[in-house]
Amino acid sequence: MMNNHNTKDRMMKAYQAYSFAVYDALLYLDAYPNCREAMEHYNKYQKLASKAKAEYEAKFGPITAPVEMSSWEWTNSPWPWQIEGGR
Amino acid sequence: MWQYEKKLQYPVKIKNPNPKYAQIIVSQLGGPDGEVGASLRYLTQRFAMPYPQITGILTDVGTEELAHIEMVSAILYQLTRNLTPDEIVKSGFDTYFVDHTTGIYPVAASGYPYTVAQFQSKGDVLADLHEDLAAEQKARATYDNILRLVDDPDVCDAIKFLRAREVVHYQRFAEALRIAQDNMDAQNFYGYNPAFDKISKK
Repeated sequence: MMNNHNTKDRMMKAYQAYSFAVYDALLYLDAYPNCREAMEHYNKYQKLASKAKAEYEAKFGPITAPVEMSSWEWTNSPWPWQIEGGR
Repeated sequence: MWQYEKKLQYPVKIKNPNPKYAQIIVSQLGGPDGEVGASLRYLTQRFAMPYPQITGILTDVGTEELAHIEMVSAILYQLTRNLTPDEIVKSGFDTYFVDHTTGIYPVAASGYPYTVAQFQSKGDVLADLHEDLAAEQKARATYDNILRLVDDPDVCDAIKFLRAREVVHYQRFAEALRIAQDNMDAQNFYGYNPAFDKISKK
């Protein structure tokens, strides 16, 4: 069980890190729309973020409401402010 | 339109509840330089902004501030879990508790409720951007003060992330100001407001 929490935390952290890199590049590109380096950085981390998101969702449930679903899983997983074992 | 992601922008995992800390940190939710005001400021100002790059910056920073509302709220939620009435009275959290129990409500540390009167959407390019620059510095200074008062690595980790974002936002708004001025009359920046006055470009 502990191991599963560790994996969940690690996979969520990976997605948080990649999607943060995407967002920060997006904000930078607002100010520097012609910066090729930033655009490559954006594309690279966008790919990594989508992959990390899909991997997490396959194992631990949806991060965004799914495009198509077979059962209602959205409210089954904990909310992001809830700590495992906490309230 | 926005889409919710069931994740925090940066992890918040606080092992030890501490209602005293919650009472201080709540100011970054509903205080004069808090995240609620920050988000509303940028998301309202962007409609009058005539330069698409700056509208983009206001949209994206305003959206990130929504994620910061969620992070500060997560910090408050975790700091106030499993409290006893005795702990609540001793910590001084009782003045918040009596009105809100442990619900999340935007107030300043002083207890003054959040009010939109704390920010402006002036519809004037230079006035709005200068307010945004000042707002980021004031929020950064508040996070500095929180770091002076709080001594818990779990709390400080999340606060340091939020502080660092204020610095990045300040940088982006400084660039926004430069973009605006590049589009204005360098000999008289205050001659007209490009968000309202229609003057043909030279």
